[in-house]
Order: sequence, then structure tokens, then C-alpha cells
Amino acid sequence: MMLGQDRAQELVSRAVEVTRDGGADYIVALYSGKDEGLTRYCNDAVQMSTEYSQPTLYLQAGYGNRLGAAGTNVFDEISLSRLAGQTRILAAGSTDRTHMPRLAPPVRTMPGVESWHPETAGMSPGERADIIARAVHEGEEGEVRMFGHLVSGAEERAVANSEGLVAYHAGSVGRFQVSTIAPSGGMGFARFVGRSLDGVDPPGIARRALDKAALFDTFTDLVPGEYEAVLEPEATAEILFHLGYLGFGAAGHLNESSCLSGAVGEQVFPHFVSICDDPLRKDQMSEPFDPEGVPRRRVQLVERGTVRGVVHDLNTAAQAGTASTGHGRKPEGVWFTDGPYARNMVLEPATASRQELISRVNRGLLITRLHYTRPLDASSGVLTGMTRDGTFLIEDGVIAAMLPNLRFTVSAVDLLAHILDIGCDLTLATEYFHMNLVPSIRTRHFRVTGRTE
Amino acid sequence: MPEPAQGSGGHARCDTWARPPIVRMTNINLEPGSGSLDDLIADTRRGYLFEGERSWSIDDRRLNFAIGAQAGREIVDGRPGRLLKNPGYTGITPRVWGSCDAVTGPEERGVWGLTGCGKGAPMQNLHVGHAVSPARFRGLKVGVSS
Repeated sequence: MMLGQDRAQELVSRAVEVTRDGGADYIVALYSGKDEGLTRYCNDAVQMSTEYSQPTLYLQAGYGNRLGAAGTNVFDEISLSRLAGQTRILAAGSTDRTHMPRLAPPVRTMPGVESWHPETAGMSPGERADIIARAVHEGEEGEVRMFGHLVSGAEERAVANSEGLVAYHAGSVGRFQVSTIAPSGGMGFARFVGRSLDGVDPPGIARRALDKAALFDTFTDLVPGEYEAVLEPEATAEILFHLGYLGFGAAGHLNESSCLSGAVGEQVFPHFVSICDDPLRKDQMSEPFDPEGVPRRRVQLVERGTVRGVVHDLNTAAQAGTASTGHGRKPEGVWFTDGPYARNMVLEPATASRQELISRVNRGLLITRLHYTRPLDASSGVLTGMTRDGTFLIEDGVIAAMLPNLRFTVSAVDLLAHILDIGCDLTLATEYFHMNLVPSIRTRHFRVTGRTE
Repeated sequence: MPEPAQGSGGHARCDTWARPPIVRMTNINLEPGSGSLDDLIADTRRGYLFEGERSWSIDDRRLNFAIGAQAGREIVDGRPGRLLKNPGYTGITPRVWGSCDAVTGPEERGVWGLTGCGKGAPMQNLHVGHAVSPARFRGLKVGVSS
């Protein structure tokens, strides 16, 4: 159940008051709520529909130079007092800090983000099933089976702190995922993610995934080695996600663990590569402020191949003597590195179509999507993972054979430093904690180190 | 092929009340063998010693995996040697387990775990814990880098 603006702001403000009464002099209360309807389908039929509500209140409180943090999903007065007490106990058990984190000052007006679509926020299980049915209908004639899920709903966030800041935002969410599998074992994938499901094209999404799975009847083997590759948007987005926290977070630059340490001001990528983090774009999905309550803002990370900037939260900004860019994190969800990271990145598109990118490859790979990508060496940006849901061999500019899922081991920096072309098919893609807006790319540097069986 | 167990083994897991339970093997344990880790190293003419984990990746059929370790050492003539940079190993799951030729004893056994093992779509995260002793695998592919 969404609380709505008045109740959510009242909750975080009351949490601050109760905690202040308990002796805290540094307080941040963050409420995060989500109402999601999830309908799963498998073998062309709806399998299950659920409704999910997850409200959580996080409280971080400082007592002198010690910090404690706790969370709850019960919001009555007794529970708030108990929560405040827990932060006091946890702070007493923590070590003294040399400096306390900063608090965001009150903001008169947060940036505007168009993010509320009532039809998507309030979509019923029946309406979700109708969208799925339209997609499944597209594949009725063939032998390729479809499975996936459709999510509709809304999320909201409220922040208050002991400096007097109070902020609230709500947005609708829609995700429609189609995976396909052919009798040959060939697979396909297509996904829509956005604030509104109003304009979603179920037959079109299904067709993309269906066609890919049915391209070939058998798999062809591939010798490990270095290959030119076309990465479709979902694959590009995952590489960019890892670069977002391994390369563009300020903490890694301050402690020199970033894979782009010392690179600010340097030409690292080709001149036609520009990347920004832009949470406020209409076609992005983000909130106007971060969990610390700082307004989010656009940061130019790479400009015509030169690394220009990194993203900050309040802590790194204080250390670096600059202002936060609104890239603080939720208290939970630490991902391999600490500190802020770029999670709403935009890779500037060019003019080539996906087909044109493929036509420019003499011998190489077409990759739909990556899976379970993890850093092997964070300081150099080396990642390993698997391809999935459609990996193909390109020969003489055409898709020539279906490949099994391949293990790759690449440096995210090298892969993007060796971009040959950028496509025009700008697509919002999400996985883990990112929401990156990216096109397909063609890179010279994709190293295959194994395959599945 | 082993006979499937009769009935549920009680391994349905979900990360919240509102997500559909899926089959999760959150507490797979390895029965101990015998001997110490020092004995195992002494019994290894040429190999590598991997300690801890810092990165893990596996394909969607749970076959091809790659693990990055916190630390790695060469083993030469039964003795630990040089410290290795960015140690890691990779393989195909059943083949690697089929190559296991030694498991150390209960005195070396510990419970290791992760707080965020993800499965399913949409993703569900669970804590996992595994009681194991150091073990030796023959013919493991090591040292893959970019």
C-alpha cells in the first residue's frame, strides 16, 4: 500500500523527531515504498499473479561521533521509538568516527521528473494478462515457446533529516520481459522497461524474441580468442553498469582504486564516445533526489572520448571539496565497492542501425545479452560473465550461425576504448541496480575464454 | 542417474513472503575427508592454492563457472611458493567436481557463506551457508585474464 506524499512525509518527519528526543544530533530518515503486481507466464500461459507491497523505513542516527542505523516496516509510535532506540544501541557499540557525514540542506524545489502514469501504477492482474496474451498470440503459429513476466506498479520515496529537509517522490513502474526457447535450444529475449506501459507493443516485443530463437536449427562451436562483436543494448548496458561503479564513482578516485584513477582529463575512449549520467531525462527512470535527500543532477562522465567527471555523494564531496551530485546510495545494497556510483548512464547514440553494425563485421559475434557479469579485477575493470539468450557468429556482414553461451573476460575500459561504431537504437535497459539508456555498439575487443555445454 | 527423492525435500525458498518460492540449495555441505591442509599441500607436486572468494559467475544452466579468489599461491614440490596476482579458476561444474581427488578432514572444516546469492526472474536474493573443508581438484583451468 503506497502511503502517498502526506503520510510518507509525516512518517519520516516523525521518525526524525522521535530520534532527536532520544538524544541524536544527526538524523536521516528514509522511507522507501513499493507496490508491485507481478504476473509470470511460462510455456505460453499465465502461471501466477502476485501483488507485492514493501514499505521500509531506514533510520541513520548520530550520537556524538558515533553512528547507528536500523530499519523497520512497522510504523506505529512504539515501533518508531524502538527503532530510534536501536540506532542508539548500535551507535554505542560502534567506533568513534573522525568526522560525521554531512547532511543535505533543505531544498525549496526539487527537480521535476515526469514519472507518474496512473494506468500503469494501478494496472490489474487481468490487464497484465491481456498484455501477455497479445504477446503470446504472436507466437501461436510456431514451435518457439515463450516465458517471462510483466511487472506493473508504483514506488515512492521520502527523506527527512535533522537539518529540516523533507522530500517526497512517487513514480509508476512497468517491466515486460519475453524470453523464448526453440526446439533446437535456440533462445531469444526482448524487454520493455519504463514508467508507462501505455505504449508498450507486446506483439513487437514478442516478435523480436521469437525471431531470434528460431534463426538456426543447430549450434556451431567457436574457438576462444579475441573477436570483434556487436553488443545489443542489453549487453552494452551491463558493461556500462560495471564501469559506472568501478570507474565513475568518486570514492574509487579518492582512494585510487578506480579503474579510471588518474584518467579525468585524459582521452581514454574514441572521440565519438560521450557518456553522461542523467537521472532527470524524460526517458530515464529515477527519482529527483538521492537517498541522502540531495537533488540528482546530470554529470558529464565522458565527453568526446575524454573522461570529464565522476559522481559524488555527501561524503565523497566533502572529501573532495566539492558538492554532491545526488548519487548517494540506499543504506543497503552495497555492490563490490563503497560509495556513490553512476546508475542512470546514457551512452550518446549515433546513426548506424543494428543491421548496419552487423554488416560491418567481417568475422565476429552478435551478442543479445550478458549474464552474471562480475569483476575479476576491479582496479583494472576486468569483468567475466556469460552471454545468453541469443549469441551468433557474424561472417561477411551477415548472421551466419548460432553459438552456445560463451564465457567472456574483458576489461570494461578496453571494450569501450575499442568501440568502432555506435548504433541509433537507444534503449532503456535494467539489471541489478542500474537503469542505463544505451544503443548497440560494435567493438574490436571482446575476448571469449570459454563456453557452456 | 540417481533416483529422484520422493516428495519435497523442503528446499522451497523465497526472499520475501510475496515472491513465489523456488527450489534453492542454500545449505549444500561437503562431507570432510581426512588430513590437514598442510598435508594436502605437501602431497601436491605442482599446483595452486586458492584462498577466499572475491568474485563468482556461472551461466544460466549452472555449468560454466569462473571464480576469482582473494589470494593465490603457487605450490611447487609440496610447498607454497609465490603469491599470485588476481588468481582465478574456471571450469564446467560436474567435470570439476568429478576431478576432486582429495578433501581434508573435519579439523579443517568451516561454514562459509554469502549474504547475496541471486536466483530467479525477477531476482531473489538469499543468504547461503556451506560447511566445507579445503579440497583438491585436478586439471582445473586457472589464471584467465583479459
